[in-house]
Amino acid sequence: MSADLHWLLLRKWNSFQHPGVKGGPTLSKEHGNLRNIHSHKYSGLSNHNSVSIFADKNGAITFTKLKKDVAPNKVRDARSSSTLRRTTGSRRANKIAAVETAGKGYRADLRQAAVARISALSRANARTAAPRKEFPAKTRGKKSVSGGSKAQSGKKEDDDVIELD
Amino acid sequence: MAARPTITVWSAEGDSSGSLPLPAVFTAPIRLDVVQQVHKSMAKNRRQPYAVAENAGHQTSAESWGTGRAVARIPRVGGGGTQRSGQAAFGNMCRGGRMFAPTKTWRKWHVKINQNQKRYAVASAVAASALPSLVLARGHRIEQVQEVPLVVSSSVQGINKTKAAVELLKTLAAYPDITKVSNSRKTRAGKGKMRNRRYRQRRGPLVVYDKDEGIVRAVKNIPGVETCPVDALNLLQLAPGGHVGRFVIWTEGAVKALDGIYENKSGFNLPHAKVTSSDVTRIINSDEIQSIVRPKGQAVAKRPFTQKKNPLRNKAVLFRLNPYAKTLRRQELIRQERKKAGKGSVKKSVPAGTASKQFLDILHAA
Repeated sequence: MSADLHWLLLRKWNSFQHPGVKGGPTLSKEHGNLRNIHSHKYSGLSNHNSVSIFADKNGAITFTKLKKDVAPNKVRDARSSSTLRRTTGSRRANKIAAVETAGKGYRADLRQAAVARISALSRANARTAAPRKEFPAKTRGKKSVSGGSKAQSGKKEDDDVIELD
Repeated sequence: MAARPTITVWSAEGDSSGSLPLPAVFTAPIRLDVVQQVHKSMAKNRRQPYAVAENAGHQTSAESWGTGRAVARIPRVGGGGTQRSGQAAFGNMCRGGRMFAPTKTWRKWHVKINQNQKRYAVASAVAASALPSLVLARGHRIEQVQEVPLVVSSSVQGINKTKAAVELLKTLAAYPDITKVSNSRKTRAGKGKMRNRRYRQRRGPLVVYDKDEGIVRAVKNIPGVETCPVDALNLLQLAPGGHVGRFVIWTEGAVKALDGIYENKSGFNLPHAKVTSSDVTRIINSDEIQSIVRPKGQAVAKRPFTQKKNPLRNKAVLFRLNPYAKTLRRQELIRQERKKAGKGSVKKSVPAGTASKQFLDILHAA
């Protein structure tokens, strides 16, 4: 059955669609929908060629494609997937996304979405691998010297501190 | 998309043990509108009649006071000594009155459905259950299942222990769907809780068999799993909620029986798609079309948006709009040339803005 007809059957109702904000686009949460938008172009269900990029709990990015020329009733074997090495940097990951979609003549129209998604995932990975350092707030002036014992000290003690200085 | 000539039969151990020709019903057109309409009507046929009490709002001896008492002529409860006396009664606008058009148990609860429409809907739903994307779109977890339609050898009909049935579902990789059903179990909202409908949960796979040798009882207690004999396929099970794409596990015998069942339905021909190939892109790219279309012409370089040209400045555009402008311009040029050469008649022109001396004299005389 053609992808167009498939989309007509899925368009009005499917279990992955999600209303989103009022007035905004309908969203979709199926695997293979690179922008999570309920549309024919991005649908991971109706298109014969679709790409899904997702990360598991540990952040490993998996790239899944629907195989070409596979019998339409196959389910498990219809997909081929590969997981990127954890050492794969974001630029290489972006390259892979571009090659797998547009470079191999698979779905050139998905290149931008695929690159955007994979770079977002690798950015998230970079952040979890090397979280931002927490620095203690610097104190300046008198406070740094008094060590924050202002609450107890009266005026006289303040004077004492100045003498020490 | 190519036709699906065969389907694999999987043994109870999970490996392929043969193949079957695909029954015609699996290629029937999928008509969501037919399925939804038939489902809506069928769902109405299981309703339990209800009505208000026959005498509700009429258990009083109220009578109208007639005119002259400065109150509406609605029946009023007689007597005295209670709040009720003197209050209006019976009418649907009255407190304590009967409702408008009291409901009756003999309402038309059932909806007649044309038999062939029903058969069409079932055929559509069966066809939809053979498309992986539609089954996924219904929410079934079939990602690890080998094939859809999933056909298992007829020996599974002899399974009579739930434990063995669970084992079978696990080997077929259909168990994630059961897990989904288990996790979805929630207490029902509303009065249904006290009417033997305490929980609500998703639907799991539907097992279609041709001969029950224990399978029905074996799977009965697995959450979400339903069974159905192949000669009594039910739309309410094949498309719950009117949404096609139920995950169906067929037994080999059931699939074999399908063609015969549809041949024996008198007065019903299996619907077939109006067009053989619905894939427009494929048709356009086919050799038949591509061999007769004219070759691609030269590319016309166009601005993305046609730029507007001012005809007062751009001569080419001006002449296109007004061909006479060309003649006008040419004549003007000729005239100027003649004037320069000082030959021919050139009209004397009064410089604009200068009045004649005579006129100015008269003007200034006053």
